[in-house]
Amino acid sequence: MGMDKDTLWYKIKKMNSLSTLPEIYDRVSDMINDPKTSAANLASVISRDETLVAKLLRVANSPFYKASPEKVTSITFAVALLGFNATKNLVLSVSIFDLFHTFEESLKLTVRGFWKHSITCAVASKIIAQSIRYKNPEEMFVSGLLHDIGKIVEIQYMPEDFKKIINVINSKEISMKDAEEEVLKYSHTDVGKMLGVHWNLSPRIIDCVRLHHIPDKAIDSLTEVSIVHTANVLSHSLELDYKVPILNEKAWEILNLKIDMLEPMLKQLKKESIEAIAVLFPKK
Amino acid sequence: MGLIELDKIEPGMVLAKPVYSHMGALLLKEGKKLTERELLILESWKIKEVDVEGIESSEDKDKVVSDQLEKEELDKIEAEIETKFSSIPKDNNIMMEIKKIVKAIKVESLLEEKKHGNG
Repeated sequence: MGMDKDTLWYKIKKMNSLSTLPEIYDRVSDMINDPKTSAANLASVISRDETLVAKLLRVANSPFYKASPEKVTSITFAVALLGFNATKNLVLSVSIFDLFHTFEESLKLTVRGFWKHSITCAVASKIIAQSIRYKNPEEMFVSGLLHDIGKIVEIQYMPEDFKKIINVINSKEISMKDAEEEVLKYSHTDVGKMLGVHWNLSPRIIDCVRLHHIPDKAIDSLTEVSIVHTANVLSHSLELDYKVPILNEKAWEILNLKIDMLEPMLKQLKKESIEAIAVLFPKK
Repeated sequence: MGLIELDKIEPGMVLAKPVYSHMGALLLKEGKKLTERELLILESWKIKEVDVEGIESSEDKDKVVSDQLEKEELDKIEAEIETKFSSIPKDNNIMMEIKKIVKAIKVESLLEEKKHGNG
């Protein structure tokens, strides 16, 4: 029997690195909710963290993010250009990788593969969002980035259970979710939801994490969950390690995608995911 | 025509190019039919290979090998994609379209890699 849910919830709350998102993200979130905050205020808070500034500018200027046709040279410009919410999402996107670091040597490759898939899915979510003119593609980027976050929590906080799960997947040739249910009685979507609730993420992002395998169960966030679900299928189809999950017909219909949109989307995904991985998760 | 190593020469093959000694002296003329006698001459002058009619040059042979390699690689891509999509029903049009596009993308990026590797 693996670690039970209550113990995991306790651990998530207790762990320093997971107890809050990076301080700066919390500050940015608070400021955004305050109507008195100006772009200059927000920029000045972000500017205190030089490493963060460097990362933000690198991403804002990278080809896959394409924040502006002009070079974004300052955080003030970036905030004015992107808007508050996109800035907040960008802060989260560049900070998330630093929260998870103490890994067993034997799981290092798994972790790298995990982040590559997450970034690919983030890019795919953004591409789909843009192609259907969804109002907030940056939030979809974050939702895609976090859709499997429960897996990384499992790898970091319950490595023994995680190895058992991998063995079950290999010996029975079943999906990760089914193997998790067998070993833990819950799955990475439940773990991800716990973390999302604890981090106070938007209900839309939490729904994407919780329901990306079963988009037809979504109610309030049907469009968002359908985007991440479809993005996950497209990402897996371009990668070579796992079997492709089947696309849910309802998700496809909700998004009103057309079959001839697939080729340009997949080609864009192939190109931009390589760029995004190079910028967000460079090989050390 | 193509270069061929001495031990692969069969009697009756015809020289596509004249053979010169290392000092530059003409040993055998173009169009000469190779028999035991000619082989003896070539051996005694320590000639390693000659150009004969009717076979592919070694460059062509390399090309054949790389084509075969490509075929192996194509088969590999095919196999990987078949495995990935093995649980998807064949009548699922959207998934089959994704499969087709992914295969084309993989083949294209393999060709790109080759081009860069050779250039």
